[in-house]
Amino acid sequence: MRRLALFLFATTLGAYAPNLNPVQWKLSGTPTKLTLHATVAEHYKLYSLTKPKGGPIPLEIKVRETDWVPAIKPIQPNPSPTLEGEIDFQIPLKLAKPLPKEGLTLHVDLRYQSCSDQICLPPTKRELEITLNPQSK
Amino acid sequence: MKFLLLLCLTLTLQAQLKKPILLELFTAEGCASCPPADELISAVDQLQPIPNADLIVLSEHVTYWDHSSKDRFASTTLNNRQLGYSQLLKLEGVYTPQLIIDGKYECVGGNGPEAKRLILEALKQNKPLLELNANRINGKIKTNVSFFGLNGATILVAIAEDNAETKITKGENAGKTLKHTAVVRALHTIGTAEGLRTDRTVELPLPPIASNFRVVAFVQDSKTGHILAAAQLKL
Repeated sequence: MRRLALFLFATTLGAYAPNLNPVQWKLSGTPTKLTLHATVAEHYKLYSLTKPKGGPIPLEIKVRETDWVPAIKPIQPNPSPTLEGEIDFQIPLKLAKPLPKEGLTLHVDLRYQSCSDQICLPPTKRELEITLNPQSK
Repeated sequence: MKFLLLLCLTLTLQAQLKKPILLELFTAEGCASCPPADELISAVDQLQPIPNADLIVLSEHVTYWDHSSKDRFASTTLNNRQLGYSQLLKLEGVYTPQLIIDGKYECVGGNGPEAKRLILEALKQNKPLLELNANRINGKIKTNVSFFGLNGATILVAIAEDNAETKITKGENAGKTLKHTAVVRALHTIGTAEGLRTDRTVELPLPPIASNFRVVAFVQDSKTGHILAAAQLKL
């Protein structure tokens, strides 16, 4: 115990500056499909949609319902409880009626937690938006 | 004149003693990165590795890792305390494990060398002696705190469980038995320093504590968050 304790106080393996915003998001799409792209910084992991109960919250992706867009379930590329690097979440759209001429703005709400091997971050919320135009494919 | 003599005597006495440095570790049982920091703080408490420092540790558990499994030591009071430091120290945000040193410096809780560097920095600051007495009486802890100066600063008393263990069943720490040191079970603000000498006695409720506990008293500048004096007593 004593040797371990002195070792802990004297060394840190692979120390790096904490990044308190390690996940960057980008939303793109067409009237039939949205793609939510996540870039998770090196050393970090994002807790996914399928993370089991206990500890951090699983990722939540909610497309706000409108007259055009009913409730949607996003699709995670793989079933892993944690995700790293570059990830694309597919969100299929089935519009209830044709898009208005001026376009339709959709809002996507995110809530997530992430960790590195040295720190863990509290739940973070992000709000993204995208405007779909009838011409976009 | 009498007070001045006493003040000089106190400062001289303080110079001969080890300087108290308060180490607050914000941690959580649901946080996968926290166990190494818990181990570090436990080692620092036991071994006191810096010769001229009296390292007073507190493990402060936050609730934001409590998804579907409750950390029994976590409280929103401690979340707010961590957020308060984030604002006072102008940090980008909060995280776990985060170590706050004397209310003035912060680093990743498991980063031993950085913690040591900041403790040595904190040791350059002189502190007046804080005298602390505490007794367990009829399910309460009668606590007396006295010190010179520090007019206007806030006086706080933490009741902390010396050692605690939890067998984790959910989340990434599932299967581990986590050991904690000086786990804060209650944190009380007992007043404000006034005049040349402050002498305050309070009776604090004893929280449900399984093992031995310690009383940690400290005086904090409410504007900067800096710890101006501190002492601990193991009961």
